[in-house]
Amino acid sequence: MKIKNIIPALLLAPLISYADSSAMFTAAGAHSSWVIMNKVKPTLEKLSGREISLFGKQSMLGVGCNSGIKSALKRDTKNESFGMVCCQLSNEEVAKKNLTVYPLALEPIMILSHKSNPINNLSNKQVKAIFSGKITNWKQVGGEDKAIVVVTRLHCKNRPGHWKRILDDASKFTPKRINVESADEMVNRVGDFTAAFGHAGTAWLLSEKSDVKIIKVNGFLPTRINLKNGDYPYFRQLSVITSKNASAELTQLMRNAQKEVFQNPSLTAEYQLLPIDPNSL
Amino acid sequence: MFKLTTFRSRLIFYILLVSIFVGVALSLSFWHTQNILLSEANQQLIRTSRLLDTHLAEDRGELKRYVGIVRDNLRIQEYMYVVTEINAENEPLDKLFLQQFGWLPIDNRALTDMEGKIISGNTNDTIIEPSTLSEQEKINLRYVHTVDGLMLVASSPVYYLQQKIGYVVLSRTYNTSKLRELENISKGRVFITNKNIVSFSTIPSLLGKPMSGKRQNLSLANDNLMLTHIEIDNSLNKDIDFYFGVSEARLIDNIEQFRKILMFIITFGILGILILGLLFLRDFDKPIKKLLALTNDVADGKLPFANKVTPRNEIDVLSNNFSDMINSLREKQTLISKAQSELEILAITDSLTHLYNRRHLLEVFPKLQAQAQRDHSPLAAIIIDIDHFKNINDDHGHLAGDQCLYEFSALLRSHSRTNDYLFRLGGEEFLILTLGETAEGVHAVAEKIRKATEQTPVNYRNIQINMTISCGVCVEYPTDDNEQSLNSLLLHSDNALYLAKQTGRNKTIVHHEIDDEPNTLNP
Repeated sequence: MKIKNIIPALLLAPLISYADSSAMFTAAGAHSSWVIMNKVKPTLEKLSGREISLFGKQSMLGVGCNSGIKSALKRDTKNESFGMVCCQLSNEEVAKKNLTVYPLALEPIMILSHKSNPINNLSNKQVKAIFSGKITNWKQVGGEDKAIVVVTRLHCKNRPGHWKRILDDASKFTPKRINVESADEMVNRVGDFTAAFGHAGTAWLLSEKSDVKIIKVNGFLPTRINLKNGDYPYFRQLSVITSKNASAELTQLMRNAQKEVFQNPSLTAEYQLLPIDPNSL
Repeated sequence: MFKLTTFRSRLIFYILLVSIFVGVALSLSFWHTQNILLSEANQQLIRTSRLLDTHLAEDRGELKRYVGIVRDNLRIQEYMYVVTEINAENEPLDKLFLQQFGWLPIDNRALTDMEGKIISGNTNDTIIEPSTLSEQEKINLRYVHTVDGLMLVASSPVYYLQQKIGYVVLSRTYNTSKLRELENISKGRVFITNKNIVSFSTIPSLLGKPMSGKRQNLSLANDNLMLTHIEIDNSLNKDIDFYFGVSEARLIDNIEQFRKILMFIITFGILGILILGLLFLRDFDKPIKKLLALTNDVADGKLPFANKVTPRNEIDVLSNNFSDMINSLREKQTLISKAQSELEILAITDSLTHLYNRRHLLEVFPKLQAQAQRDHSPLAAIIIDIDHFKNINDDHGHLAGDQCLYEFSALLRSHSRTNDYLFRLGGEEFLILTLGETAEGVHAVAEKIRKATEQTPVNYRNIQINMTISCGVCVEYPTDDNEQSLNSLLLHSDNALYLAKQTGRNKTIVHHEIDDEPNTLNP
């Protein structure tokens, strides 16, 4: 190597070293996946030796699955990023957007009503009938004579799973309903109307002060045990995603995340999330 | 005729002029107050009616804006949909409506379904006109006459997912308390008429009275109101009119109050100017008078003592400067007097011996002669000459001679009496003039001096110089002729001296008047 090439290399060496040490992983996306990643973040940081910055604490439009996909495809010269999604992406979307999906856990979907509602249990059929508008009054399922206020959050309409496990198309839901944009709004609306009926993922914890309660479906609560046993019918898949061109470090980080979630189910027990075995995929 | 020749008179004139000017200006203002205020009241009437018009227009604009805010609230739209389309309970809507828009400064608010039935709010059905609601697509404004007051109503349809689901209706009431608020703002009276009949007013006696837009005045039991019509948009309700009136009695009260204040200002203003002027005049006049007196004294040749004062103004400074000038002049005059005295002494004395010179002899002799004539006493003269004085000069020098003359004059002074006049006539010749002595007495004096001289040698540079003197004495009664008396006295004593010199020196010879022969009294 010539001397004239060595001198600039020596001068730039400290700067290059500094840039490497300050690089971090960033991620954005759905709140439910954020809940998991936020739990495993300290372990992942330790394993990767890099700081991880997560955006997705709020549940609202703009920080959902689409935001997660954008984050995964983001090209940042300094920091690498990945995305967090709360729906199972279709194979077509994964291929078209050149993504790699790393499933983490399954999240039960709660069926919600107002606390004052005397009904505590509904059959799967009754739930579907209420959401579709075939049942419009609580007295039709043994409750009070009140018109049912259906509240939906029909997000990610082109992706499989999630609310589609209740009714597989948005058009099958009753038109006489109100549609909200976030889990927070869902809980507020159901809490406001005594005849309300809605749905939300278990990762959105219900406050004790909330006027909302969970309705059993076929006599089963939305727990991970019931989900694992195949007793509870409604759930969705939570994943992290990267670009197919992700670095080895990021790929390793994703695998570590899968491994950590699966090996430490207690981390997600609070949210009733059912970890997925990465080896089974 | 009154002439302004002094600053005092000019100042008095100026103060009077200012007082008259202020008095006239305020008096003119006093007499024209009524016209000015009435004219101003008319202008104010027009201005205030415009202000009220603007105020009412702002009310309309504000209400319209509030309706828009409620109509465009997504959550209100959602909850109205739940209530109207799903037939859910309306309590959550009531709660939300109150929570989000309870703060609006309006009197009534309502949300209705498509038929105009209230689903939330605090108003009654009287302001809701379903026929009006069903037609409107934008925000609608109108005045509605009710028993509770005139209501300004604004309404707009509410949509949810492109579907019209009901209306939002807000209103503001113009009742007696609202009119009182407007009256507080406008400082006048505000009426509302419905079909040209007074329907709302804070004056109960006005209710039901007919009114039309052409009226300029309205007579009441104890007052007369100047009226003006407030322009409002007729399309909102063609039967409703607003009027604004100003009480003439109140105006006159204001004029009277203004006049009282003006009179107070005139009286105390002029009085204040005069008092201040007099005080100023006094402060100005006193030091000027003092200065004038001082300058008069100085002009008369006096240099009076003038005390300095603590300077508060230019005149005090001037006065102090003048005092300094007088003090300086006084010091100079003392120096001049002293110099003059010294000059006078120098003119009549001999510079070596400090005895009187011949010139002073000519001045003092007439006084002695007059004294002698008054007392009928004789005048005596002793002429003294130092013997062989030329030899002293020659032997020891002129300085030694001067020393001898100096010490001899001191001896003369010590042996003469208080009323003796001692002169150095020139060279080594001296004269003693005295009054009222006998020849024997004068001779004794001369002898005493001669002996003392003989016995007192002069010490000059450790050399003893012995001196003797010769004396010629003459005692005569003076005649009326000064010159002749002096000449005679000097001539006769000089003759006696000459004889003493001729006869061996160191002796005294008396010239006797009677036989005109010198009489030698040798030692």
